[in-house]
Amino acid sequence: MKWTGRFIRFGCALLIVIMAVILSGCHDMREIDDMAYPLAIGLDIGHANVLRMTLQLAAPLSIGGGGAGESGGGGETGGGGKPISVITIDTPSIFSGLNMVNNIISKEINMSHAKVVVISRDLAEKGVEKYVQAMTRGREFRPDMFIVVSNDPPDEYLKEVSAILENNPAKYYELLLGKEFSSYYPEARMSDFHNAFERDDVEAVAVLSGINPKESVEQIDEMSRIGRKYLDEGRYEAGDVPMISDLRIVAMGTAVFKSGKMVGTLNGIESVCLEMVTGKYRHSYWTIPDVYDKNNVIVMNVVQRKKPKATVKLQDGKPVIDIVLDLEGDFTSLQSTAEYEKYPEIVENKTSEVIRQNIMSFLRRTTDEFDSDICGFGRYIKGRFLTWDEWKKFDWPSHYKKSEFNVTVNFKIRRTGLIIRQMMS
Amino acid sequence: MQMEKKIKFGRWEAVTLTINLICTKIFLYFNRLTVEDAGNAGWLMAVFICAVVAVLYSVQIWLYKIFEGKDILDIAEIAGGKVLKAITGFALGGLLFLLAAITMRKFSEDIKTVSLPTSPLSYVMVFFMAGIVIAGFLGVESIVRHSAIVIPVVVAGYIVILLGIMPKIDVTNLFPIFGTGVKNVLLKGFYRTSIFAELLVLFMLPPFLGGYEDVKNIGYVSVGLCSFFLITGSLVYILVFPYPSSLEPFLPVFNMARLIGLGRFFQRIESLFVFIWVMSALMYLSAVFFFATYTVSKAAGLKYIRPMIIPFAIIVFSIAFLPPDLVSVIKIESGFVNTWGWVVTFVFISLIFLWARIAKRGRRENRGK
Repeated sequence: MKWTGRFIRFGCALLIVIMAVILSGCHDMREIDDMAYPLAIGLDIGHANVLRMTLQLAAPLSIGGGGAGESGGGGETGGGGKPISVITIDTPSIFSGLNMVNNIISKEINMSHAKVVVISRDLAEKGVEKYVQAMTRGREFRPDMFIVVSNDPPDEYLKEVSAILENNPAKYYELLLGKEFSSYYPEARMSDFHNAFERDDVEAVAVLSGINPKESVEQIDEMSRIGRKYLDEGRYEAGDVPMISDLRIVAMGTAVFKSGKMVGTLNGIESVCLEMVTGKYRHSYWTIPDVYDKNNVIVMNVVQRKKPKATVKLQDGKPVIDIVLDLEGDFTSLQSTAEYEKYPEIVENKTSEVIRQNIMSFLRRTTDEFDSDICGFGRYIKGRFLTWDEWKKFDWPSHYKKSEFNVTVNFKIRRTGLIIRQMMS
Repeated sequence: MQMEKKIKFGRWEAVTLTINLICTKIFLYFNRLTVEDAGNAGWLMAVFICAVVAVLYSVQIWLYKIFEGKDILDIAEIAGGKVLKAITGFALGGLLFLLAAITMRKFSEDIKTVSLPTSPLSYVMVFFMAGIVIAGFLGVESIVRHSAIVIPVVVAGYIVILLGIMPKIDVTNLFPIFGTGVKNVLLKGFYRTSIFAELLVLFMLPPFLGGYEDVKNIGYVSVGLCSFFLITGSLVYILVFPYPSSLEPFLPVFNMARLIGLGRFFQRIESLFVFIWVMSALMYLSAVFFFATYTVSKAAGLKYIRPMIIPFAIIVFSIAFLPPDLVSVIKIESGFVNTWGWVVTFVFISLIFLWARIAKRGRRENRGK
């Protein structure tokens, strides 16, 4: 056969025509408008079936309604309707639930924009491994979804989510749960959560969240039994924070897991300690009692200067864990008239001690109460073993409970804000 | 028309062709395979594989030295006449056809899983088929020149993925340092030199290249660059996915790309992965299929190879459908191709070189007498 130029040109033209016809629409063609996108999935123990699944669906027309409604409350936006719609269903599994939901709504469910998985506390305590595994296998579920444990049933929790400051609930989740500031809860993503279930050198954690039950200042008054005494802002957990807000969802604290089951919670300040020890802490305000005047406080913006150093050694079969933290801070507020700017050492020492005590207390809870290595200290002792068999035989989880901790906090005050000397008498 | 002897291409083209033939496996399974064999010491196994291959290639290229300008089939003819040439051609061509069929099936299954879940498998495969047939008709020059353009883009995309995943790495994932044991690293590492099975294509290229020095340098540069990509691929994968979770991902690089999130505006990088992955796959399949057809045609003494392209493509398409499911494809890939490929590429070819050297020396001595 002789391939003339004309024949090749004809072949190419024919190919282009065929491709144009075939590729303009194929078996997998899906109109974005024909899809329904859940932004959050809630998982709880079911009653009519084993699993109660709640989907919080985005209503794109309302979300895209524009900024006019952004200042409105209760999730009402300029599009005229609610930006979200919530469906709850009792189902044998997540994917069966999606099948069932597809019988209710006109559009096909697509999970590729889901931002958060909200697990009820009851289900978390029972174990969520099988559901996490299913979502990890699923093509549409993202590995960067946030994991939240809610004190309240997810069906109620997701109804209460109202993104007042943003038009888009997806952005609300990203900003709330992925923020770098605050640190009163950990950044818990699906991929890390899933991996931790399979590892024995670190345990899983999730964000602790709940609905703020308080609707009036009187309710805050009622919860205050200790009077007007100073109390750290981090001493609270989601649900008991003394605040009133149109935004009723509060993320505060950490859900602690061991072997796939939730075994306890950490409050805000303990969550900060967790972040510091794992090197994920960014910055937040720390309030410490004034060194000379207990009626006043000193507020600093504390930053983690570099990653913490952790070493684990065995002494008489007992793990001894040394942690060195390098932090620095800026004065944000000095309520007393003492010239701390001139002699910052005293504040530095006090702050180091306050942080050290908080971390020690947090670490003791992880051993004595939870027996769960959520800081991942097991990762630092793995290097002492040559092979995987030796490491498995050592059985780190059984040793963690006996751990002793030595914490060193190096804290330096670097800046004083816009005021270098306080002149109030 | 049989292969045009006038066709020549440069070192760069040959190097990019060889890199793609060997490193495509990074996108498919290589990273997970090293972890399956040696646990979190998979990267050490990758280092060992590359070191062994470098030694084996040095031996092969030394044996090849006296056959400048000849390809493996010409050398087989020197060693054992037309019979050995035919045997060699059918053996090497057979391996390449198998690689083309298995890889086409694997790529198509992967695309179906990742991007086109509701499309029939045959529909996905038809596009690869069309690609390899067109490439076959356009010939080796088009394939290598196209590869010289496409592969740098693929490499750049791959490096973007590696850099993007850096915030997720955890150095403690490397420990315990010897993973599932030194024995696994060395023993399994040895037969996993089959990862470099496609290096045999290098000994089909000499007629298109310059002299012996060209072949030697192309080989060393290719082995060096492939080693870099394979080792970094395995190392980064292990640093990102802790063992034993690292045994789970079906497509290691795709799973890594899914984890990349640099701020709220730089997410879902896997779309970049799909783009570079398909380019790499098409280049791989085109090259392997072409050289399979070329080898078998030359071994059979056929004057033209173009009439063989469509029948062979249909055969490859049919073979690709033989495994009943994806798990069977993975089993064939890791249990057969990647376990015994080294026998063909390193042992069989080296034996032919050795035999040809002996035969050549014998003839020279006979002539001397």
